Amino acid sequence: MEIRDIERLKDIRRVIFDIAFGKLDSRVTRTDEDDIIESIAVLVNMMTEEMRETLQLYSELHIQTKPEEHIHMAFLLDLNFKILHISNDVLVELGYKAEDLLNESFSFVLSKNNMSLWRTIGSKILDDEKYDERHSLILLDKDKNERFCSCIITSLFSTGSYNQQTLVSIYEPVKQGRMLEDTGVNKRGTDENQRSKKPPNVVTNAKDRKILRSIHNHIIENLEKPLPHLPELANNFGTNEFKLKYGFKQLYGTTVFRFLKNERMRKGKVLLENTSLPIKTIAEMCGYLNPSHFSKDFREAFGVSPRGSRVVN
Amino acid sequence: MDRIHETIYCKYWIADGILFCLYKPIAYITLQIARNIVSSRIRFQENETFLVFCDTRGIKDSSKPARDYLAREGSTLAKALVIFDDRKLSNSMLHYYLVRNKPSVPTAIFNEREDALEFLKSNDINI
Repeated sequence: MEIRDIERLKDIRRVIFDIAFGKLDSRVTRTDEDDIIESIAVLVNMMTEEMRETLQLYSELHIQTKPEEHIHMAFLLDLNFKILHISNDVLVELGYKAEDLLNESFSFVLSKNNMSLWRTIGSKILDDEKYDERHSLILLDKDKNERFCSCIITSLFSTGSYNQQTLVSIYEPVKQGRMLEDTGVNKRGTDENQRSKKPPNVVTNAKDRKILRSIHNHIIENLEKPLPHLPELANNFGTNEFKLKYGFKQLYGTTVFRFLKNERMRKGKVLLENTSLPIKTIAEMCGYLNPSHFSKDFREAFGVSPRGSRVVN
Repeated sequence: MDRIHETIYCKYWIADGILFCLYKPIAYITLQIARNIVSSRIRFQENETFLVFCDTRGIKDSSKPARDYLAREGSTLAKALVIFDDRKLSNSMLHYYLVRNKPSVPTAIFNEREDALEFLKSNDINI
């Protein structure tokens, strides 16, 4: 095996260890190879992202974090996007010394795959003194390991000064060890009263989960058709109303009908913004016989009428 | 060939009733890029529904929000959709993607162009 391939495998091993320690923002560095190692690298990255999303949802539901339990990495950049200041967490989390970063271009800490995105952001910042957007960027630590970060990028521009600066801010809960600590946190936060109010756990066996996934898929494949009432829907898929009602909520975090409505609204929004189809036709394509019901639900979901959403776009 | 449209991310054209979407080299598809791609495709379709053929060989990497978006909204106004990619890594990347993100229309991945076109024709239902 070539040395380069061994290095690539070591990088995958590093990320697997990171996952074991709950560091789900770790990433395997991608190369331009097209081989089995690259396939595994892609799968590990995709799987880590799935786990991160699931755990994030889980922690939002169950863990009340305090400000001191957060990591706050901040980069202050000058007009040329050179690093002027960094917060202490940048040094702790990415392993650099301050002198490694100060006066370096911000792209020094960015994955090369993000260069084109960063150039786009940079040109927007220069055009827009009120630029304030959230972007997912991949940062490099001192050893060039990739780390996925949700960044808030804000233009700091004061009138009377031509000195435009940019703040790149990353604020995230401490994830290290969370997987081990979860049980403890939940136990502390759950007394007998709360436990008795919890919905029943009905998705413990694989067969039930498979049925619920089939129902989930059936809904997204048939948004234009009316959905039967829960007992009939459950019966059609070989389960019962109780398991469907509580199991769906447990698995997808929302009720069957709220999920259906959300999916219909998403479809409606894409069609409204990108086609010139009449609103009545779009309403029908989203399962609404009455366009005014569609409009009412649309306004509730997005705070704007279907017509207004079309005008904006 | 009827019409052609090109953006910074994709080239679109229609031939034999099939909408072809060729992804240009993209290092990392973000949610914003995914939105741009879906939006430009639907606009190009001008309210019509098509069989969609996507040549994804230009995609190197993508974020999860981008994949979620492409899976959910990427099949809007599509009767059926195929992904054509003959790279070795596409087998893992795209199959995993389809397992985790169920599209709302018949969707399949092929590494042979002819097989992909055959799948589309077998799913040519009138909507």
